[in-house]
Amino acid sequence: MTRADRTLIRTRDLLVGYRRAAAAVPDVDLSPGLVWHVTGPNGSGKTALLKTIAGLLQPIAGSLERRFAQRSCRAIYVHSTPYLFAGSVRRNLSLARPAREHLESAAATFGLGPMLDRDATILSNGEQRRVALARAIAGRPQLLLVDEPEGGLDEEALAAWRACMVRAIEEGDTALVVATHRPIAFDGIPVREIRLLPYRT
Amino acid sequence: MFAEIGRALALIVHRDVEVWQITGVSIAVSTSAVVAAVAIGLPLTYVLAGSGPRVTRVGMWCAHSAAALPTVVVGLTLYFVLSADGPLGWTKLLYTRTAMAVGQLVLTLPLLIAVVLGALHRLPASANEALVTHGVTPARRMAWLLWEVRTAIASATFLAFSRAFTELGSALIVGGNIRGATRTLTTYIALEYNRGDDARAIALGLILIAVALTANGLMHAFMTEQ
Repeated sequence: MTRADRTLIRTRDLLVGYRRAAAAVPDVDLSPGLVWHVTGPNGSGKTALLKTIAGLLQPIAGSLERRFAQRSCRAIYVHSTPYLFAGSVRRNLSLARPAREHLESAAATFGLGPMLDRDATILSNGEQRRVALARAIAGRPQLLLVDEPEGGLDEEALAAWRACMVRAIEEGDTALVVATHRPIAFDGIPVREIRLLPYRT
Repeated sequence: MFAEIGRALALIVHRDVEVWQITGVSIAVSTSAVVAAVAIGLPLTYVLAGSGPRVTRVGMWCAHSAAALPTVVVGLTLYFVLSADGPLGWTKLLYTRTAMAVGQLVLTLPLLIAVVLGALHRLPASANEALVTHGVTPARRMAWLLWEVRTAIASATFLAFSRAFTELGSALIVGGNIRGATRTLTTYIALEYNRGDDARAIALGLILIAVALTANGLMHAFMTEQ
């Protein structure tokens, strides 16, 4: 199967933003096997683009075509400041109703095993980010959209996050889109940049 | 005065049958009104909260305005609706406990909506977005978000019960204070006060306060637990 056949998201002349256009998006065909790095200055529409791809915002103009395979979790967006629900870490990880082994595997990846029964809302910022990432990965999305993934993570969690994403991408069933100002690198995985500039009428 | 209070306490201690029967009617009517308000109010509030900022603002304004309605006005309106030549006269609900519960439902529903809508409105947008993006079904989304505001729901429920349990105007007009049927603590207090039986009126008032304080205590216990 060619990469073109595996395109998950195809955009053409896309404008994204909240009510009014914030960014003009270069035409892209998002496919698995790559890391897509969304860059741009503050206010350039990085978050708006991720939310638009996830279906949380409507495009202001242009076309955005979703070509997901029939599966319950298609695109999961992880906020830069994630919201954790009241209750235990386990309850949060079960949000997308993952199979038990997927939940436990995601928890183990981020070192959350010992804190599965702890109250998620009283964890530190870094721990909350780990829970949010594990929650998304447990849902086995076809497309994972992560806003500022590395803020608040310690070295160990960063390494776990990168290794987990490399594994998922190499298995060929996940595409990763990351919005961050920092340079990113995932072992052996090519990174493509989507450079956004503030939209001017 | 002290003699009257002594007689009132004696009535309670000696378990005056009628007093306790009336207490039972009051609790049953108010509880059914509040259960109905919760059953109708929570889904309705959830829909209002998810219908955009303009609808939420209008819903909040309407709920606050309706929560301030005088109980006698609600009672009077319901009386005209349920009276024999009113639009719902055929239901023959006037002077029944059901009519009293409906009156209390009208009084408590806006209160519940105002408190819960405010709480849902204060949740960050990322809460609902996290549910949507994780593919949570609309019914489960409602359950998850309402659970996030459970202390507000508990608070609103007990406030609603207190308003229903202690109201007089609507219960008197649509219930009719019929002995053994629609007589409640508040309507009986009004009757005994008019008759001049202060001891009985005080006894009923003490029970009214005790039940309201118990409801308040339960609410605080729940909120502390959470």
